[in-house]
Amino acid sequence: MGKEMERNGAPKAPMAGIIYGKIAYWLAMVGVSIAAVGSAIYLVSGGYLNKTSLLQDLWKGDSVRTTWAELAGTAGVPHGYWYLGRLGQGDCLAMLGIAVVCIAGVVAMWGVAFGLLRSKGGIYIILAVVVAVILTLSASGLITI
Amino acid sequence: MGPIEFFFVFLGISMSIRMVAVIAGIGGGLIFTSLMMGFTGINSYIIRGTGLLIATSGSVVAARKFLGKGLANIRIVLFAGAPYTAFAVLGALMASYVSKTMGEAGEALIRLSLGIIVLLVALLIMSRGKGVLNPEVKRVDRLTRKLGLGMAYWEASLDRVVKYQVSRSPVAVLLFCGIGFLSGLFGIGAGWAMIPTLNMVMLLPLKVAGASSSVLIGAGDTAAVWQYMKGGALFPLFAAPCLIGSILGAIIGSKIMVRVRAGVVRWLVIAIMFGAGARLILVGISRLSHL
Repeated sequence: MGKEMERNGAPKAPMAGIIYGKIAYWLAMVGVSIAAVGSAIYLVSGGYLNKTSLLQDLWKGDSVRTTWAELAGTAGVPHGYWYLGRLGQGDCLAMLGIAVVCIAGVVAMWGVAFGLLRSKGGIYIILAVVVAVILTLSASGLITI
Repeated sequence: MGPIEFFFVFLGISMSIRMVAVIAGIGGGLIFTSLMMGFTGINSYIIRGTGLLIATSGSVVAARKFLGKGLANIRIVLFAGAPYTAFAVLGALMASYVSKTMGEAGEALIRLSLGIIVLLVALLIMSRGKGVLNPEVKRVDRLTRKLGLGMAYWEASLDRVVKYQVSRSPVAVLLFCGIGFLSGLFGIGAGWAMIPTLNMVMLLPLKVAGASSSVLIGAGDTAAVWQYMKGGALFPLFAAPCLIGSILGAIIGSKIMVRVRAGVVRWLVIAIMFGAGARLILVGISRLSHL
């Protein structure tokens, strides 16, 4: 940062930004692909949550709590990583894809922090680490009420 | 409608919303959430989680282009990202609390409040026109100068480098806190508020404001999406087609936007927002009166 050199008149984009963009883009693309494959399996051969019952619950406007109780038989909402132990099921695989899309921003922000560290980004290293820590805590489920 | 039809209908809807949004120069999260909450009976907590997922995914994909070209200001993204992300999480936690404790009253109040916000945003988009292309910075405050938030980008239309300064970052921090909270609470991307803040308060060039706002949403709202995921709001049958459709819509929209008259689409978006906002207010009042 702060060393944006001009080449052919155009300022060079900061490396930290390029790192963020590439990591986020490719992880999101991988996630969307997994979600598409999982959805296809779910629609064709079913999954952990009965799709017809889920559809009825969605249209009825049932709360998240009621829907989970009816479909998964859980007393409340399961933990945020409910799909990880059942990746053979189409909907769980689709959910993994969605999670990969969501993790893209988290991983990319750590990439920014390391990129800034290498280029001696000053105060921006701290800001990148702060954002990355908030994202990581949120993704890990440690921030809760 | 069976699950397969449902999947493809929502894939088509979210693709169309994103295409129109990209051409109109906005994110699409706000339109998605307000239309779904106004015109379907699906629980608002589920819609808001999915709306945030859509806003985030589109921004994450667009970040490569904006940051690779140096159009988005990474310093602004990090400076605004800290308060925005923290308050987006707080907003999402508040959403979870409302969903758990307020039941039908919460559903009604969320719809009513979002309806008012959507109408105000539609008026904001109408009144601010296209924003200020290259605002003039007359005075840079001490904090902004110390942070060195100003940068430069290649402006293809002028065939030259545009160096810009930034101002009023202390005020902007407060605004980012509020915008992040609203984004997390209502499950809406915040481009509608972020771009005016960056362009009219911090005086960033309009293009840089738009690009930086997009990257910021991708980074900040990710934290809020995880809260909705933890709250069980993301169901693959609904979230997956909306996610896939949104990404496809963003890709198609960015390809056809050069051939479409953006002004017409902008008015279409304004009309949709007035319709969705009015509908949300009516639904909110109706639900409150039945309590």
